[in-house]
Amino acid sequence: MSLTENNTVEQYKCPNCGAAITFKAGTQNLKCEYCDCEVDIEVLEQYNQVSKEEENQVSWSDYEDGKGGIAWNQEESEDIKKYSCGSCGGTIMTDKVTVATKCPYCDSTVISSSEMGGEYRPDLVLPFQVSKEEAIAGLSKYLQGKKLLPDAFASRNYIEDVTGVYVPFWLFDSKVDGRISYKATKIKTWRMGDFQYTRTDFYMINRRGKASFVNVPADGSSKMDDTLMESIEPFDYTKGVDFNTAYLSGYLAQNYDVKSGELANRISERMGNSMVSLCDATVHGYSTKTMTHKNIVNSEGDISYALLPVWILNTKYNDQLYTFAMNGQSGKFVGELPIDKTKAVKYFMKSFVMSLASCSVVYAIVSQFM
Amino acid sequence: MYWDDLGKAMLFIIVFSLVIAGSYLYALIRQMNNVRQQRGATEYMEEGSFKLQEKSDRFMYSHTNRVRIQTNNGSQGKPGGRRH
Repeated sequence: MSLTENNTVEQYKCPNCGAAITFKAGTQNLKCEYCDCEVDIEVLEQYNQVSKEEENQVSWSDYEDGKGGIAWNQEESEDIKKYSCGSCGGTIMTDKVTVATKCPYCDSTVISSSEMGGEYRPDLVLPFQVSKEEAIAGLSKYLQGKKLLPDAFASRNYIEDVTGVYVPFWLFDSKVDGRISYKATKIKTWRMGDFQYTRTDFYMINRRGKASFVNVPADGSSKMDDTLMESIEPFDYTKGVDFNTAYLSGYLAQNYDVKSGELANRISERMGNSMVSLCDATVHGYSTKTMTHKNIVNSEGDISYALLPVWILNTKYNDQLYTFAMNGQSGKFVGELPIDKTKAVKYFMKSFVMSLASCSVVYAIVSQFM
Repeated sequence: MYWDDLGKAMLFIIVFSLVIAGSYLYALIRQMNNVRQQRGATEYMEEGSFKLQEKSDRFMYSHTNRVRIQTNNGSQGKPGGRRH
């Protein structure tokens, strides 16, 4: 126990069972009367201090409130055509030569052109490096070997359905300071006389690490599925160039409609998870380890606005819309395919019968020798 | 006795085969969707920027548990423990 600033007595709790713990004069340690646990005062002070720290602190301000973006200039506004989808409300833009005929988000044909304006100009663009032909080949490769794929879906021709879209992303930079605490055990077992003994030593493990993250992307389009966009990562920003409307030729693009501030917690979570993994890898030699506390602080946060290349394929099957995406830089293809339930039952029964037959044969052979 | 053993063996084989078939089907279904949320952001970490600034492993307390070893006459051990 100790006196706090308000002259009230602070009650310590046993780190093992949570009961009140008291000072033992003989050993100069704190001892729990309930579970017999005995802890050094200094160790318990440190344990309590770490547990009280705040879990996460995020330090990014909104892109608009921070350094801010650069508005489109007059010439760029004249070069860009903006379309709005009458079905889902999504807005896309392209150069004045390219004609958008389908909404890349909902596959609707009800789109109309409108004036540019209001939004910020991207800081960076990653030009497409994968061609439309390569995107279609990537889809064919993805469909290969999928035993549960409906035959009607596999036999379709998707060439006209693939659209190159520059998706708006917020890129977050930050220095991350992480303090991770674990409770770990070393377990030793031995026999003596008629008894088996198990000794469990409990340790308090503390790790503190720092790391810098650059350009962690978060999708700034409400129409684009966030998980789908995370699935096509990573992007290589060394190929990034300053934005120029010429890059839009033949492709569609969207301005962001999700503010950067709304995505900061997700980015902080990802950076924090990486920090935990890095610290985890430095804890060795224990039988078990449990994370008891983590404190992740982001500092020197910076945000950029970028257009990243994505091939989008929307297709309907049995009245359900399936959206596939391909990283327009690396060619990584992702998406959820429909499942043929008849095929699923067939493969389940086939493997069940094969396993049943194999096990029965093995049992018959083994029982001969027993 | 023989039929009893055979019945148990068949039941085990059927359950085992169902588990195998279920696992195979699960693997086939999982193959149909590769959309996954990213857990971390390690790909975007600046190379060599991770620095471990604190590393402490401190002993807190220990607990010893004692169990009597079971003997052939079937007597069971009683567990007992102490902490220090």
